[in-house]
Amino acid sequence: MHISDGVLSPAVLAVGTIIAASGVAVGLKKISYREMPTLAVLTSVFFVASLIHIPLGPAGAHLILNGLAGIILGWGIFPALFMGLLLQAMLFSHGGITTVGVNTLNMALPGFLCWKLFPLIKNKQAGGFIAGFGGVAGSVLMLWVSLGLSRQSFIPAATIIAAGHIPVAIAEGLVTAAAVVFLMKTSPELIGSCNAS
Amino acid sequence: MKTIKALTIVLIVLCLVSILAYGHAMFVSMGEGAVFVQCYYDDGTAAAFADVRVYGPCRKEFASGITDKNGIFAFLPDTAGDWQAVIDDGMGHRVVKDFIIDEDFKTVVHKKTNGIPKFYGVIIGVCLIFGLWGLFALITAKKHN
Repeated sequence: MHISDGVLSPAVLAVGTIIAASGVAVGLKKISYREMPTLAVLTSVFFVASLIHIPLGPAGAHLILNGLAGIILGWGIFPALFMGLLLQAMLFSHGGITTVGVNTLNMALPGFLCWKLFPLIKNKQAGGFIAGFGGVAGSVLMLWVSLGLSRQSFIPAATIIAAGHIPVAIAEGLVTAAAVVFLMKTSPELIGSCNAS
Repeated sequence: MKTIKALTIVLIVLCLVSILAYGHAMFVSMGEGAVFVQCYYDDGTAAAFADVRVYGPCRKEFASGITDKNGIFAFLPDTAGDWQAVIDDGMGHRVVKDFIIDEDFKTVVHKKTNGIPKFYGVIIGVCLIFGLWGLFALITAKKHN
């Protein structure tokens, strides 16, 4: 899911970085200091979950949890995932420094859309599953577009990666649904609490 | 006499053509003792079919290709000195390995490991996340007050 340095074309890198930077700036502006602990916890969850390697196909996959982060953080998902991805690139060479912007956009935008759509779904358990599944599916779609726009020859590999993430999307849907049910019982105010204003 | 001359010319031409054809032939010989890099993920799974680039001394590209199903890529170095292998699986996992090839072109001396152990990396990362967001909270709280 993480794109390495030297893979994307300069145009895709530039556009992705600009959009991601705008998202991070808006996110930082909308988040208040009281919401920082939530932001720190979810950044850490994303940082650790993305490092758990699941052997699937030739290269494997990993959890993202951007749907869960999205429905809790809203705009805050942009700075949260940006920090997580930057540290992964610096500490583990997971992803790349130049591609942090595009990777942030690919993972944060679907999570952000989940935050927008989640209140519209009445059954919160189903909403959680849709957010988890949709978060991964959206990220895979954006990865496919990023690679395809950079070079046509990447499309077959991107399609294989997309197919390999279907089980991950289902797993994330189940995990997110369980997390949402738990949060609705214990602290329902947490869901969509960040930058609710 | 003319027939003998013509036959001689034909013979010479045939010899030349056969020599040229011999020059373009391809042969295979088998050997052993190549240096290999083996790439795997932190859970022990082989990084199969990942892109590999091997750079020799002076950072000139010496070999490139993909790892096999066991995550192995072999090459036969021709110079002693500092070498580097860069392995990228195209899924965001990339590793750079520096090593030294000895005078016999076989002995590999590992120079350093790429990155830090995962456990320490996770601890450092989580500490940095909480520290940086804490710092940001402090700054915004001061502005708020």
